[in-house]
Amino acid sequence: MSTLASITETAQGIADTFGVDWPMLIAQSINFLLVAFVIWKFAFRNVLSTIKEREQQIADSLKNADRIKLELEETEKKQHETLQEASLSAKKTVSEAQVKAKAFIEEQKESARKQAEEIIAKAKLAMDLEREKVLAEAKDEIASLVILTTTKVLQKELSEDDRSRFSQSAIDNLNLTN
Amino acid sequence: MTFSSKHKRLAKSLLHLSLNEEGHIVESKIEEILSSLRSSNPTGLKSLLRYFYTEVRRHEYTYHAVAEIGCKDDPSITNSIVKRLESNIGKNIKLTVIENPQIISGCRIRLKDDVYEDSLQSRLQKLEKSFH
Repeated sequence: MSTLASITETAQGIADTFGVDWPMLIAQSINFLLVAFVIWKFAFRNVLSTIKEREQQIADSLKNADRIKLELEETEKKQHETLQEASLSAKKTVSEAQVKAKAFIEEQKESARKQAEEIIAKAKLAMDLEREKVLAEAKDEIASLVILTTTKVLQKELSEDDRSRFSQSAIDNLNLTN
Repeated sequence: MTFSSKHKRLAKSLLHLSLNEEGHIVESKIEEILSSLRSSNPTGLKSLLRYFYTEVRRHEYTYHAVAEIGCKDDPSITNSIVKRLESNIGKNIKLTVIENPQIISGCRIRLKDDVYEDSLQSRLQKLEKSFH
């Protein structure tokens, strides 16, 4: 009981020191509580609900973001795989095309070589034929010249006696059977 | 008997009349025959003359030889040719000899469709052909 009284006295002393007016204090407290109640009822609750909604939205967004991130990773993975496949396919196509091109070039070279050989063979044949033709013509020409010269010489050099003798001999040996 | 066959026979007879002993056609006899025909003027004179002309040509063609020789005409050569031809065909022939220096030497004889040749020119031509 004394302790309690001392505490009460101490409290009264402190209140007197700091100028505390108890009715005012109580009234202020009641006012504060009323205002607090009004604010809590009409403002704070709405604000809290809004905050809660926002929090919920943020939580949902975060959840979606995680999901999207997963999907993005999945898509990136698929894209990477597709690119790899495309790259492999392109490499394969390029190598096949190179092989075909090489084969085509070889084929064309072979064909060109054969054509060249054929042309050379034909040219040789044509040259041979031309040479034979020229030789034959030269032979004919020389023969004609020889005969012509012989004819001229005989016409000039044969004496009349020789001609008569030959003519007589020709008549004697003439073959009159048909 | 038609006129044509009669004229043919007559033409043959006229031909015989125009031959001499050797079987050669004599020009003067032909002229005589023609002048007598002209003066007598028988029927179908044109046809007769055509047949007569054909007969004369045929006879000339058959019994008239043309010989080209590459030397001067010599009686021995002419006789040789005539003898050879007559012994071959068995009848008398009339021979015309032409000097042809183109054949150089030797002879070329034409009788009817036959040509008999042995000349330097033909030998040289054969030689030239053999080169071709």
